[in-house]
Amino acid sequence: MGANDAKSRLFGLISCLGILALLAGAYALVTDVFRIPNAVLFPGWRKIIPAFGLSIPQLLTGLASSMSLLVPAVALSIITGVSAGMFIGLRPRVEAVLLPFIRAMNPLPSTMLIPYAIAVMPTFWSSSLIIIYLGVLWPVLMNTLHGIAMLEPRWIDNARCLNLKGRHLVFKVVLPGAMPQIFAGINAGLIRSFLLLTVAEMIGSKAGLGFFVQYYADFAKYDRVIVGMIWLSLVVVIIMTLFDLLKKRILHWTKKR
Amino acid sequence: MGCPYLTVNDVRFSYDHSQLILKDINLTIDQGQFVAVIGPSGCGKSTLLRLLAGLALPSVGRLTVSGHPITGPGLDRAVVFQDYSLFPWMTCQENIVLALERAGIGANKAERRQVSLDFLALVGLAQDGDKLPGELSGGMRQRTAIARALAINAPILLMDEPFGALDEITRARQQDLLLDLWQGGQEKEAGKTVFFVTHDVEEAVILGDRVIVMGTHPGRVVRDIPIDLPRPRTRMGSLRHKNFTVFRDLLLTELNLVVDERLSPGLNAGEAI
Repeated sequence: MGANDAKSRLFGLISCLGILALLAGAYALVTDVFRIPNAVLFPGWRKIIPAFGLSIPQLLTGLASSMSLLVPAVALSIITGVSAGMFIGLRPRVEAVLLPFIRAMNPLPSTMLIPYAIAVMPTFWSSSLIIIYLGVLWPVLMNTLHGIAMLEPRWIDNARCLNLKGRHLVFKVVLPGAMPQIFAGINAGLIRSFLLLTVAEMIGSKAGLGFFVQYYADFAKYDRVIVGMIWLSLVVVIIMTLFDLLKKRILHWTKKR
Repeated sequence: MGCPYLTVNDVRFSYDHSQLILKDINLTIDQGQFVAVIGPSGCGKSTLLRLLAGLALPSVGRLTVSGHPITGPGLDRAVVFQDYSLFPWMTCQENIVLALERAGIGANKAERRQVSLDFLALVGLAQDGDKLPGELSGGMRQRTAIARALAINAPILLMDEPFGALDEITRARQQDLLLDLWQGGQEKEAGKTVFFVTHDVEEAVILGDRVIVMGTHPGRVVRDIPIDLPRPRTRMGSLRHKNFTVFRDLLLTELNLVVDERLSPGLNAGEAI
């Protein structure tokens, strides 16, 4: 099974890179070779590649700046979302009261709070942190509650027969049992977080990956804008790949049931 | 042996005052007895087991273990379900170690790991402790669940169709294993008391000191038949015993009566609550 797994993963990687190469080639053909679209808006690789080299220091500081916002915001929403979910999900009455509210909050775009976040919070960092935090919190919380509701009744019977209570019950049974759903929530939250991060940085920041793109767009330096887009995509893909690896590791038992 | 140990007195059970699941159940089980419970689906045999486990409480009546009323689950009663007895995210050994920890057996983790290995070896799974339940066959999973039930050294074993999902041959082996383990325990002072729910007539005769036949609508005890086949038993030995077919036919007749009763219309009209 291990060999087949590695084989199919390698195939996926190769086909993915192949499609990217085709797209890059097509782009080269219309820009570098035939010069069809507007050369300012769609610079060829001839201009983008040198721009990439020149941008490396800025891209690295931008990455550091973005991560210093994204990592604490997402970590905070996961920690509070999962803990609140455990607290609420194990108390049916509390859940009955709060679930409609949580359900209502989940789809609301936290970006609508930007004016207040900027007015109330002292810095760009803290106001963006709040916006990202609120965007990720609700899907994590919702899915944690969902995961607890979907626990197999037999697991609960089993836990009761073993006299598991309190933290033993939470850490040995409820949390691992709800983990597949919690990961689904974190997945949805992460996707939202990238969106919110770039929006926040494009609006009010002086650094970061979103800022880099917006800054050069203002000067119509589209070679740099494309560099920023490629870099941002790369970062997102790497984060999601690492997340998937972590998920596979923690949820290995779900494959063998 | 011979003293009333598990008792069920005038127990009724229904969910939210709707349909009566169990009606006026009375049972007395002696310490060290192996009781098989059989009946058509819907007769409440699993519900009765849940009441004994303390996973549900009776609507009326009471259940006791050596005189003390059952108010909830306890580690004095080990339960083996048809499946899902083990947590799928823990290895077999971790599942047993957790149970030992809860039962207060073993001074530390290392000791508990050793005890869990001993019991895994007892059911022939010495090599499989590090595997997840999902990596094992159904029979191996049930053996692990039995190892766990024995490891916590509960005086009472409640088994809810533990071999119900297994194929014929695996089931036969598990029956022999269970007979072996239980009869081995009987030689000590206080043997384990077993409450074994099944829908398989032969299984009930092969294993039980006594078979309780339950009927439906509402669930009730219809007959209580002692099975005096010689101990220690083996599956084949019991199957070949001259009285085996007598017991089997008696049970089949009783079960047929229960089912006929259910199929003939109007007969149960007066049974509504």
